[in-house]
Amino acid sequence: MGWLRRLTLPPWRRAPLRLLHSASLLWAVVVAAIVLGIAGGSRPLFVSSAASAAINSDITHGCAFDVGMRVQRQASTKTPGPPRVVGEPIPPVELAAGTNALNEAVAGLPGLAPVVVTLFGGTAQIRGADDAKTSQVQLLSRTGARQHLQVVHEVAAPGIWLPDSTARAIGVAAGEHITLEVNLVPTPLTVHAVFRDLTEVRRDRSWCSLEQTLDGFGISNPPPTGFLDQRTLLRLLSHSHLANVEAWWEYAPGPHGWTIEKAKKTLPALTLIARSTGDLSSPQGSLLGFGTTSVDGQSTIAHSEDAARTASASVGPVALGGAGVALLVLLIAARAWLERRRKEVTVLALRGAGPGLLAIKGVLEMGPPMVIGGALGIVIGDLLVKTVGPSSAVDSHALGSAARLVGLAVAIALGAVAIVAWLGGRRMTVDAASDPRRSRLLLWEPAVLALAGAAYYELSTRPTPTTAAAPGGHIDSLVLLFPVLLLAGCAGLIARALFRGNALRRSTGRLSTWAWLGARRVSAGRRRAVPLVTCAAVSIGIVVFSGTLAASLRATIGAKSTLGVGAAQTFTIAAPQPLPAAAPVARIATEVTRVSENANGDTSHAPADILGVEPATFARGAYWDSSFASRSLSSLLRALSPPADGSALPVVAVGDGLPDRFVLSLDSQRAGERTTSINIEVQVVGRARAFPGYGFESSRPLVVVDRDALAKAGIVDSPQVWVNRTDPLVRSRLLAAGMNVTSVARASDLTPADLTPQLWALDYIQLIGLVAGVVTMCGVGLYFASIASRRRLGTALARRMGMSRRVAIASTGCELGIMLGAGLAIGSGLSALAVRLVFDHIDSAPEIPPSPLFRFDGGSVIVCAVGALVATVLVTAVVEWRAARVPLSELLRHAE
Amino acid sequence: MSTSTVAATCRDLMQVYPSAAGPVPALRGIDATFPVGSVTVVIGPSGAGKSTFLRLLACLEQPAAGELQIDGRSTANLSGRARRRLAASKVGYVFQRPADNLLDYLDVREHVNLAARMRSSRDRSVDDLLTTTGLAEVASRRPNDLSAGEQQRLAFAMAVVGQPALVIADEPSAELDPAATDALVALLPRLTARGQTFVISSHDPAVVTIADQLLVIQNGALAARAERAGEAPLAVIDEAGRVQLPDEAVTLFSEGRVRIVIDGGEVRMEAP
Repeated sequence: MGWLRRLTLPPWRRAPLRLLHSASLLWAVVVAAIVLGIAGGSRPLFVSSAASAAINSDITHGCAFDVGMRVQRQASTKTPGPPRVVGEPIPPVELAAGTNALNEAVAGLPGLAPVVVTLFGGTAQIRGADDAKTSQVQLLSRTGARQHLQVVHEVAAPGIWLPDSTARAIGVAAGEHITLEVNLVPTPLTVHAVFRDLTEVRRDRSWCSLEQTLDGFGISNPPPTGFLDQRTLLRLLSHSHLANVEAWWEYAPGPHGWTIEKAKKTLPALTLIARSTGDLSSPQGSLLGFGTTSVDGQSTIAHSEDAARTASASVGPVALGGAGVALLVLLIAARAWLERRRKEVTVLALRGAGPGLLAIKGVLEMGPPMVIGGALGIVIGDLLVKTVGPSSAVDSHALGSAARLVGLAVAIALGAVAIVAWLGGRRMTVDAASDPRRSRLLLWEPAVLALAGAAYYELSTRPTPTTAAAPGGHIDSLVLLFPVLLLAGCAGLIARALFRGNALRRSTGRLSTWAWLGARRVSAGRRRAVPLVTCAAVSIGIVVFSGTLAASLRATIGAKSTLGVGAAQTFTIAAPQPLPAAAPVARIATEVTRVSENANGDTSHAPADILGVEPATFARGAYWDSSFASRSLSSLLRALSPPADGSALPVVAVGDGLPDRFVLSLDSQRAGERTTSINIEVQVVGRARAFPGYGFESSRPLVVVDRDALAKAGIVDSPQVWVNRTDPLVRSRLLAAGMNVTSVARASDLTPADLTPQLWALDYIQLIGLVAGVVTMCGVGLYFASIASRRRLGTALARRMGMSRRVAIASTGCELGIMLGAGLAIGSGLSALAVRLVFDHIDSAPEIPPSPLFRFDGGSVIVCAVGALVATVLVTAVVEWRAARVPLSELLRHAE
Repeated sequence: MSTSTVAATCRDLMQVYPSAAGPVPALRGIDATFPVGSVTVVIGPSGAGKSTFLRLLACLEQPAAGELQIDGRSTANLSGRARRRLAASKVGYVFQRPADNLLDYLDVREHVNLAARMRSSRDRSVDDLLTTTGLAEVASRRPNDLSAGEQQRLAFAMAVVGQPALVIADEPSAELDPAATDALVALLPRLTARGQTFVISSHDPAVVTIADQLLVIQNGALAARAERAGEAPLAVIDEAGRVQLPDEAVTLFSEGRVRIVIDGGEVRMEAP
């Protein structure tokens, strides 16, 4: 056990703190370990965040009360309620008793907001002081409602909260008296406050469960809603001889949302409570009586788990790639450590320290900063995921998984460091003298490229687009793995070729001194330059690739969902009605007519849908992408002008199956006449691959015509107003303009929910790419720090022999610029190539046009270029500053 | 420590290095014996094979052929690990550049202690050794605070602690000034008095004068061997045929000139 005793000797005992004396190496190791921690640990954190985001998306974009539990019962208006007589039907529950029973049942369940109790008092007649003006108002009482109303005017006196529409209708203001008539019983009340009518303002999500009550959804035309406090409403109803009132108890997730862990604990418990309330033999059931209780647990958890699976499958390869880059930088750091410790390793080896002991020394020196960096990586990864991830809610067990993964990654990295130190120790002690051949860079790229080829073969030979084939709609791992492999393999080979032999030296032979010097330095440091350029290219490539993929996917998803609707919002109008030109909304809208061809048409073409458009206004209200057609939209619209001579109607044909000239068969109904079938001969004057309003509901081809031409033919059915804005108040503006809106379709509602995790995953991938870029910069910094100390004497002597400071700085900048510039060019070019190759495999919904839209993310290239430039300037400044501040005499004294 | 009177022997020691042009012989068969307590100085022109010879003696390389015994133990067929162990326990090594032998974060005493413990030595005489080497007063200093001469003496202290059979020194005085060289030369007899055996590569006449045995290597082969006869010091004849006389001999030729008389097998130097 002599070697164990040797570990107590100063070189090993002091090893854990030795790296403190090598600031640049320490910095590089810590940062690389941080990246390792982020890449390794952020995956479970991100997956947990994505799962939580899916739940919270259901909560925020859907309705929180639908995710939680809703208990609907009849409550007694008497307080206390009537005593129950055994054998008689269960009477309505007393409100307070019901609330207490339910609160007791849910006590201890995590993440639930306090109960929201709503009482539906029905419709009442309301009169002001001037009895001549009356109106109707729905009476409601809801916990916390007042915090979600936009108050216009308020007084201290208690009473009713009236919407401003009703207040205007009956001519009252806050503080004045009104009379409510419920069940023909009048009750005088004071108007406590006037608020903006809930149907005329942008409501917050707290009203989501009452949309039916407030809006009616076209089923009814509900009167405006007024509010009373619970006690006043119960007293009013009781005074009006109404014994019961419909009551809702709603338990929604708390303000901080849910994690999958909380959801899996809470939702099944709520389901059990719901069952219990429905069982009249149970204490809760017998207390609450008949009614319904709903919990939407299963779909919420299933959606969340789908998101987790999608995120996990998508981010896995890239997280692995990021960890690989970090590991590579750590290995470079290990080699740098070995070179810095060359003398020490030799001395210790001569005193009997074998490669094993030297490897232990390497691990002892690099272990602490790596462990600290890994731990910091978890903390930073946690913060990053919570800050820029899909959701800030992360399960506690995800943190444990992250810690385990990072522990494993750090252990692997330390093992790799030990191997490098062991091999280096052997080479420096016994074998170096007997083997004068210099070790070569291992040629690993062909193996990586072979894997990339296999991945691409697998992708290309699949029968259906990858995303469609993948369960849960996630991005196939191969779509992400292939580019990383392609980037790494090609970047490595290109970097080798760039710095091979004396090509670089020769090519810069006629350049100025600084460029010549910089190129010679890179060429001489080829063994370090090649891995650094490869790392830079891979990390930059990941950023550009993921940015381009994300931009393309977003554009494609947006195009697919908006294309079918035709615009961001489409409003169906009850009857043909021109939009008043003076109305403000008219400036952002266009009117269209949508009809389908009847079955009487000729057989020369496939049955088509017809879209009548207003050429003058269509462009401002409809969605358009230049990939839809080879011609511009304005050019296509201009071609639709009806001919003066009455010849065939010009149309734009969208989709397959339409000849250049054919006859459309449509149902026409002129005023006062019966529906008749008419034939219109049309001439195709333009074609498009896709067109607004096309392909969402069916795969039939679309014929675009001038709307006026349809109107002249008596075809005025199904008019719609299209608005290419997402503003939810457009509906009320259309109503204000007198348009009879019967339904609304929004593109945002049609975005496939399963695709959202893909976008999250791509954001994550970009983040990992950026982090990998940071660690690459650290590697570059380490490289320069390691060579700068050896180069100080040469630089100092050269400066004294006449080389100007400007040339010295420019040559270092050139050296760094060559490496980072090469990394930027290689990474950007290869990533564009990779996206082009896998592009067809990311179609999220191949049955909906258009095919994937390519969007090159130039922004990420600019960000990377700026980052490389900043790194060049900073590292150059530091290196030159360090070189300039050491006196020549000191350098000469310590010169090797 | 072995009771043998021979610290190391080598027989027909050969070394061949691979090169692009084919194998290059670096040593062509060297025989030598290193008695315990002796100082052997190896001289020869650059590229003659001195360093290779020292590396083989230090067990840093495996010889291509021939036999090497250190402290009675043959190094033939030793694995790399066994060779390292043998080198650590039986051979001390001193590099030419003083700083190369030392670690900048250890002080003088720690260096000697480290070397002793690495050699698994129970040598309790670290303080005596520091006194012998003249380092006792600077025992708490680190290498950067020592002169080059002190650094090299510390390197010798590290090399001899634990009584290894053989101490190899490659041009130990090459980077020292004359005063530091004299101090180092003065140290060697004190260390050999402890039974230490030295093999030193040097061109320095001051070092050569204390040699008990002189090995001249040329073109990888042993060109000449000379041994001190009684107390007669050895002198080196360089490639140009020049020789440096001991101080006491120089005083005999007050005019600064000498007549060389070759008489049979003897060379006599007479005042003109």
